[in-house]
Amino acid sequence: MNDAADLDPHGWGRMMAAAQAGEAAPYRRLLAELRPWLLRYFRRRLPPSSVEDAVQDTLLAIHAKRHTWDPSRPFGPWLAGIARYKWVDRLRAAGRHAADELPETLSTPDHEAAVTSAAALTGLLLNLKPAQAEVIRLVKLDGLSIEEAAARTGQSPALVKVNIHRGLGRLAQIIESHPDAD
Amino acid sequence: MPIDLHPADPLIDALVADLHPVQPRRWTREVALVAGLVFAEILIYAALRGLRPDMPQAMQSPMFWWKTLTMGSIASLAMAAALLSLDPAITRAPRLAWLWRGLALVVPLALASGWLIDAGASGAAALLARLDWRDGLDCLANVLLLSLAPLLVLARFVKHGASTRPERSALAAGLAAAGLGAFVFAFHCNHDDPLYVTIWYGGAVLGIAGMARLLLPRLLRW
Repeated sequence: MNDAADLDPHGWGRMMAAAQAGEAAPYRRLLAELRPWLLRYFRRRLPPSSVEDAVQDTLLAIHAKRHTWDPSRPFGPWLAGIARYKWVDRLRAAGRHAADELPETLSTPDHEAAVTSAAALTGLLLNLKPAQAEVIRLVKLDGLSIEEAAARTGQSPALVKVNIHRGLGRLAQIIESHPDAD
Repeated sequence: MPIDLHPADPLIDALVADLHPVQPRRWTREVALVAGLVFAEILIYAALRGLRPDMPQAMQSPMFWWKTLTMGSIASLAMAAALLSLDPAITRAPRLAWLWRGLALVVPLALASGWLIDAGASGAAALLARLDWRDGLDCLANVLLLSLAPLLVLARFVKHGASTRPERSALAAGLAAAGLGAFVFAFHCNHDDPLYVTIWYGGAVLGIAGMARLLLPRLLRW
């Protein structure tokens, strides 16, 4: 098994196989290592206010669906599939709560996060109508309130909410129907 | 000397506390279960309502084989798509995308082929006679009935799995169950007219698949 390390660089597959057999220690270690990986994954892809929820949702999903990983196959694609599913889920949810503003405590936790924050999401905004992309950027990424965004863009507050809702829903749809465009 | 590298996290603590051994899911086992169920349905249905009376002659007829093979292939392709889609690593894989495309092409073509073979050959009155609506409705009802057990089993598998495209998995499960129901019914039904098969079998299959697509996804969220 020379290439075992290549296929499973973090040893996550080995840990998950042990977890499927009911071993608590490797499972704890796996979850503890997945958490920062997921944090990074979602920071690039979601508004800051949705990141923590997405991480927790994904950990719960990994737990509930751990029997669907086939130990004879690599762990990475399975993990990526679940993370992506939860990403789409969260974008939809963020759209439903269009008016939720960023909590103070979550805006720019540290420099590294601020730089990479939602980089993938920002790129994806190019697929939306400019009016939608702009209010999503202002409210969900820059942390403006609905009223501030309305004043800045000239859209009415109601229209700002609608555009956030529709725009994030549309993004979720685009990501879902694209075969592995991250 | 053990060092605690990971600070306590209440969620992780809870998940670890809830850990119990699980059996990794095997699609081969799932296929075997469905195959056993279909075989049992064929036997039970033959005992209750009998095989078609002209079975020996029918087995010589290409139309009988066209009918059973069409339903059988729709069922097998759809079941492969449904079961494969339950692994998050495969749901979005390019080769599964090809299977979806194949399904989207094969199902309508297979169902329409009966029509293409010879619907144009007779006038309207003859067409109606060929459609034999009394038998046709019986056929619809029976295919629906025979699809129920496979649909329940497949829905359970889909729920147990982790599809990242729940709508597609639901549609494929419905199509598979309907194809299996129609396959079982084909051993009883003595209509080999391709037009009849297209309309009644096709209608039943699409109807059941549509219902599954509408009703199942809300049960499949995870």
